[in-house]
Amino acid sequence: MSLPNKNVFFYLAATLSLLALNGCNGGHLATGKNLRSLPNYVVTDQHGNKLRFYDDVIAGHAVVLQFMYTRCDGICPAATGNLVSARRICLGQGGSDLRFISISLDPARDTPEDLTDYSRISGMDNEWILLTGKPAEIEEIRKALGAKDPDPVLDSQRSSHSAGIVLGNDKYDRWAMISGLSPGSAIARSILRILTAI
Amino acid sequence: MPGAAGLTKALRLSDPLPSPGLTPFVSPLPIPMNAQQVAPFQTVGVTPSRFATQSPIYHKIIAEERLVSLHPQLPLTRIWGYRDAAVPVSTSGLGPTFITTFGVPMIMRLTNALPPDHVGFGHPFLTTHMHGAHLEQRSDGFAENIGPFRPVTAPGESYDLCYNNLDPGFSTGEPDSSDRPSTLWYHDHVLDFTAQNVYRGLVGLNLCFDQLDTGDETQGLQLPSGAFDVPICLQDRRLDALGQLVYDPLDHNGFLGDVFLVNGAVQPFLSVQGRKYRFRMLNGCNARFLNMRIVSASGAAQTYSQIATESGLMQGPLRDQTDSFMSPAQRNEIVFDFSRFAPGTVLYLENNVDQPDGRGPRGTFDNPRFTPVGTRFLKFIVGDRVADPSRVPDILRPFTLDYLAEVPAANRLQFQFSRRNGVWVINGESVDLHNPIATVRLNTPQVWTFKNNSGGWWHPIHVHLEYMHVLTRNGRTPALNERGAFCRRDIVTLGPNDEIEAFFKFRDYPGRWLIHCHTTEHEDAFMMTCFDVIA
Ligand SMILES: [Cu+2]
Repeated sequence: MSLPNKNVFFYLAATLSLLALNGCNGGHLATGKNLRSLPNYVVTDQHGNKLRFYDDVIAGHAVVLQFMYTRCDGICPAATGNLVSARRICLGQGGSDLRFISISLDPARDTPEDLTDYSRISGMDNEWILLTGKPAEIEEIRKALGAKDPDPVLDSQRSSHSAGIVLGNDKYDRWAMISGLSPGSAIARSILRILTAI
Repeated sequence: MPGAAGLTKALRLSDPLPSPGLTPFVSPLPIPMNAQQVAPFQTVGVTPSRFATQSPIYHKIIAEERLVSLHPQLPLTRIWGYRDAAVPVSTSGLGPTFITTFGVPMIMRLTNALPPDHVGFGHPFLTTHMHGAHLEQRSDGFAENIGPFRPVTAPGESYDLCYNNLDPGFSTGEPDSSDRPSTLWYHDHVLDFTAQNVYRGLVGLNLCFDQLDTGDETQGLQLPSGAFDVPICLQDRRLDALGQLVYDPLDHNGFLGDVFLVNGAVQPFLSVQGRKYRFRMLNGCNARFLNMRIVSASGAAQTYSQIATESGLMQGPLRDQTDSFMSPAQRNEIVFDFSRFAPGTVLYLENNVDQPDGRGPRGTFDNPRFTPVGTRFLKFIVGDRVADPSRVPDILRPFTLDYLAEVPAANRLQFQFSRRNGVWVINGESVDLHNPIATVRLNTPQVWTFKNNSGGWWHPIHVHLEYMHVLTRNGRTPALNERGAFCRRDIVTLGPNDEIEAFFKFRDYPGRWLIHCHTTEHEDAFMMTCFDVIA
């Protein structure tokens, strides 16, 4: 008998430990898994703070993520405007625990100061988190969040970058993507829906 | 293994492992139970139409998490499913099957008993759509709460739905009895999470009968009935080593699985008698297009008669067919005659569409690519030849062609489906279900053009409320299995750059209705819009 493939072995062991963990935790068995993991790279926010992307930004939170870059003269201004208006609606409807996060797709150029300026010009409030970082790592984060195109040409063009808004509720490992081109009111309804996990 | 960057979760699953290998054809094809009527109850917010002449029947359905066996070599799989409240436990991968007698209204109370603290993909907030039904807006399973209607139920809540089962045109004294469904399905439809919830298992069937399609093979059309009228719900899944469902909620291209289920079982078998069978095939996959064939052990395609699309019986059967191409959510019904095979013969129901990813098959709608070897979903083992009173008559449901006279003066609208910055837009607009893209008058002829401008992507476009008569495909008369004068459709498939013209008349029910792609991942990424029908 041949030894199991190392990956399969890891997978099995991890799945079993997950089962065991869930078993002690109120009797919930693994109910099917998200095929998803998020990188935990160190990123920089608009104040220059170093944050671990998963541990410090996402973990335990309900998050709304968009992708932008400060020099974008394509869809960013409109999409950011929609999201800012969605944020205002959410704040009025019990969404104050939400984290709104903008991730720069031009991290090589976007400095914390650029991000601060962008947040002020766009009308983002002080709680809004804007992130930049090492280009290759931001690229991995973008792909892990599903903001990518299966067409490699489109995927490589910053001008055609994703207008998707990623909605996540980490506590429940619940994720979806909606369109940043929709009006703020429609975006807000979807955001509030994913937060009503309980 | 985790590098310097570390990983958030214990598992790195971004390169999915193939699902565990399973021995095919070891368990019999499950047939979901018929829903049982319950005593009439006090409904909330619904009453059958005053045009209904018969008393309604009542059902109570519970949406729950449960353990089911997909295959004997796997541990039990935790799914979400509909259960008939009249039974204490369900082990079925599908919900109960409704049996509709046309003209008899049905009232269904849907109770959401999903776990509120659920972790993982899926969202335990439900709105239930009876796909293909002609019905009031309140009961259509609208994708979000809107106006006076609150169809989205939280765990612990219930919602009553009413299906009048009246012929379109009933309210104007022109009921069109040729416009009746035969195989409907019900599924969750909540905005942003339909793909995840349907993939978790919130799916069931509804079989419709009337004085022609009687469900009794000695009467009416005499189509095969009873044990010889078999639903075939085709689904693909991905499983981990412990048999649990695996899904990536942040892959929006369209899910493709590598495990193939029929009626909730992985590659089952069906022992058949040497006679005719009616197979009601539903493409229950999120994003996989299917071309279903019945082949011999050596792969030779065997002929059958197609008798219905998702919008009911066709005017007549299409005989000597070998291929049934179905987009997600489409239904094709066929009659297959096993009496021509010797007892002991083995046949397979297989799909041979060559589809590399969720964008769609290789090739075009008119010329899709097929794989040299098909993927087997179901094995048939032919038994002894038996007496067979069933028939496939030359005329199934006679169609009125009155609509053709209404085409020239019809109101014309165009819907262009495009991809912009990684999201979907329809006529350049991103979805807002509080703002309809169009408003049309009740009972007025409409010719709508659907145009796919989204590059290489395929989109099965579904319009709620009414079936369509397809007039042209890329400027030409479509093939019989989607030609409006021969059959109707509730989904029209837009292959790359396709353009379809279809005739509609929205009768009886003013309200707000959805148009969306039924590749459910596209739908959830906002490939959806709505239109208003006003009196
Ligand atoms: Cu689509």
